[in-house]
Amino acid sequence: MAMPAMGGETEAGMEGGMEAGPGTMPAESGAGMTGEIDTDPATGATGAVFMKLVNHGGEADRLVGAESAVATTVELHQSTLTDGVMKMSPVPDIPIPANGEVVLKPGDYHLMLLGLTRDLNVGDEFDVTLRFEKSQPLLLQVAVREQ
Amino acid sequence: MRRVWLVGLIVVLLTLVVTAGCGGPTFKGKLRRSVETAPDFTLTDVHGNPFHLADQKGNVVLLYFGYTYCPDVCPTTLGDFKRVHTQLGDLADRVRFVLITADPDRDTPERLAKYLTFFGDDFIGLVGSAEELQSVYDKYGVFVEKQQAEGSAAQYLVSHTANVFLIDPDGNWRLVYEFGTAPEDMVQDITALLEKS
Repeated sequence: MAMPAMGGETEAGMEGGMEAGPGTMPAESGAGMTGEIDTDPATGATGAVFMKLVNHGGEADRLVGAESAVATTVELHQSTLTDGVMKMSPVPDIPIPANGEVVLKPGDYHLMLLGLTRDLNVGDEFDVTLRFEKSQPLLLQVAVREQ
Repeated sequence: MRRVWLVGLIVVLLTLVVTAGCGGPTFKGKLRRSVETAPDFTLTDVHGNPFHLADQKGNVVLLYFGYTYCPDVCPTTLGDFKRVHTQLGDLADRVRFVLITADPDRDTPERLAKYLTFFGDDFIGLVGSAEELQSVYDKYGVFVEKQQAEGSAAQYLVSHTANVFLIDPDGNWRLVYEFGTAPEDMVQDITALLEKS
C-alpha cells in the first residue's frame, strides 16, 4: 500500500555537522495509512519520507544512503515536474551545500521506502539511519503524520 | 503634447477598467483556452459499477490520474483533495473526487479501494482495460509512461501528468490545477461554480 509522507525529527543535532529535522511543509503533511506487509522489494508497498537537512559545516556534503528496519530497501529519489508531467527517478545522492540546507518534500527529493516490513499507521514512529559522504551517520526518528 | 499624452493615458486606463470588469469570476485554476464539454468516458469503479462522466452533470468533478505505488506526489494530491472536501463542508456533496489509475497492472479495484479509504470515504477510484484507460488519458492529454528504474528495487515507476482537471456542473472541462495548488484555491473555484449553478 502506498505510504504517506512522513516527517523526521533528529535525535541529536551535531555541532558543525549535519542536522535533520522536520521539513518546511504544512503541519498536516504526512499521511496516516496502513501499509500491507509485503517483504518483496520488487512489489512491496512504498512510502516516502520527507525532512530538512541542514549542513552546519563549511564543506558541501551529500546524503548517500539510508536504512530502516521498516523497509527492505531505502532509496534516494527525486521527482521532477516538467510540463505538468511528474517523473521520479532514483538518484545516487542528494547534495547539501556548505552552511546550507536541502528540503526533501513532495514533488522533489525524498527517501523512498520499498518493501515495508510492517504496517505503518498515523502516530507510529520508526528510525531511519542517514549516511553521508563526509558527515557522521545520523539517526532520524520519523513520525507518521496525518496527510 | 502633454495634453495628448494625458488623454492617451486616460483612454488606456478606462479600457483596462472596462475589460477587467467583464468575463465573470476570476478563477484560481488555469482556465482552459476553449471551454467545451468534457470528453465523455465510461470506466469502472472499485465496486465494479460503470462510471459515466456525463452522468455527473450538476456536480463538480475533480479528476486526477495517479497510482497507488506512487510515494509522494499522489498521496499529496489526494491529501489536498481531502482538505478540499473538509473545507467545502456541505458543498462537498456536489463534488466528485475521482482518481483514475495510471497503473492498471498493479492497481486492482481492491487495492485502489483500500488506498482511497485513507483520503475520503466517497472518493471514486476508476479502473479499466489498458485500451479504455489509454483512451481517457488521450482525451485529457494525460501522459502516462512506465519507467524501469535503473538502480532501484522498485518493480517500475510511472511517470504521469500530475495536474488536476475540474469539470463544472454543466459538464464542461473548465479548469486545470497544477501539482501543488493550494486546497483553498480549489475550494474558492468550486464554491463559485456551485453557487452559480
